[in-house]
Amino acid sequence: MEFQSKFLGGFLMIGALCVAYFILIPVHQLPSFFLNSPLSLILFYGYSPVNIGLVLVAIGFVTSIIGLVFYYLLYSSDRIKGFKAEYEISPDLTTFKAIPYSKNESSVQEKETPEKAFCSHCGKEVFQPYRCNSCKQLLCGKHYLSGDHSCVEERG
Amino acid sequence: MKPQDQDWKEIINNEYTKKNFLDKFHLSIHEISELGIAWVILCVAIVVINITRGIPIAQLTDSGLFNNFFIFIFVLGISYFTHELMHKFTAIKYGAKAEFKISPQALMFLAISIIIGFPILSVGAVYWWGESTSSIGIRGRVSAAGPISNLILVGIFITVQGIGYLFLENLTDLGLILIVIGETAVWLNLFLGAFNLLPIGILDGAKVLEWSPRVWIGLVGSFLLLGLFIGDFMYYVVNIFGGFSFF
Repeated sequence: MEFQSKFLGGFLMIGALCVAYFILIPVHQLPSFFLNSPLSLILFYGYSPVNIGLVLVAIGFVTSIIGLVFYYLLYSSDRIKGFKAEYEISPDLTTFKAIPYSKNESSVQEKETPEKAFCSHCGKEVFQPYRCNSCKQLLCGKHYLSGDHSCVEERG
Repeated sequence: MKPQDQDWKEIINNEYTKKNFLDKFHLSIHEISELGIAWVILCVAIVVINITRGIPIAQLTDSGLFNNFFIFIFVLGISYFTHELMHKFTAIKYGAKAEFKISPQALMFLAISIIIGFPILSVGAVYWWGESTSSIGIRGRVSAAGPISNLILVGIFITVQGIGYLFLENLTDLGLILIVIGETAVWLNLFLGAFNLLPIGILDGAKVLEWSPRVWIGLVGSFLLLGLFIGDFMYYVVNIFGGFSFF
């Protein structure tokens, strides 16, 4: 992984937390508020003005709602620009075609393969090109297997 | 309706090509069995870690009905499956093909974790391929889905814990079981989500940061806030470094 400047913030945050947890609290004897939250103290000593179950239920509802809001904000498909169209670009960037996506048409419909195309690995012009099943690129006879061209594969 | 579509409908409604319950969710028996094997491997690895570090196994809870270890296995299965399947379903939502596989690299990390004694719960990963992998935004969203599912599970299990406290007076056994389930699930999900959000290498956090630092900071901030003020983050860190306390 290449080092980028925007990663610095995350590393600084984690470093500061490590310093706080492993040096400041044990060595300099900071108040135990960091170690024991007020909620856990209430649970330990068994004294609370309100029933602790109700408090926990309320906190749980709020956190699950926060998670659902995260999900709604990130995954509502209208927020991704350009996702509803499919693009085809040749490797020398001379031809650019956008195919609009619509829900009414059947999703079984496959892409047209043109009679002539440029191989997306070597760039040579080929008659009747192949199309890779996994990455949908147009390829020549030498590079149509997934090991021979740069087949886009990710893990998450 | 076009004539082509009619042909397709006839083929789909045919007896021999009728879709399974599993096919509806883009799952297969092979993949589910792989998830189950991953679960078993995780349980065995954690037992081995605890044996090598000299932590006693099998201590009964106060209720005397269930072993703490079986509750932990149950909770680990739920949180691991939801984490991986959320990756898969979001990848499928963006038009990609996705599958969970047990990978040798992740198993190597697990072996290293057994040697060190720090539990890195990595057995496999959701591999996904298609046109949408080339977009940074979709890649970030798919990898952010796992920690978000953990956040939702934390909320659900805090409510479970609260319901357990409400039941304590009348139904003591049920209340105690619910409280134990809630406590273990909350800290396990916090650990899973916060560990996966570290911006290192192949973890989810690197891809989320590459897409948008704002979302990463929001997720990490929510996990740290929950850990500090509700779940006692330091307590969990001590638990993880000093061995799992569920035994």
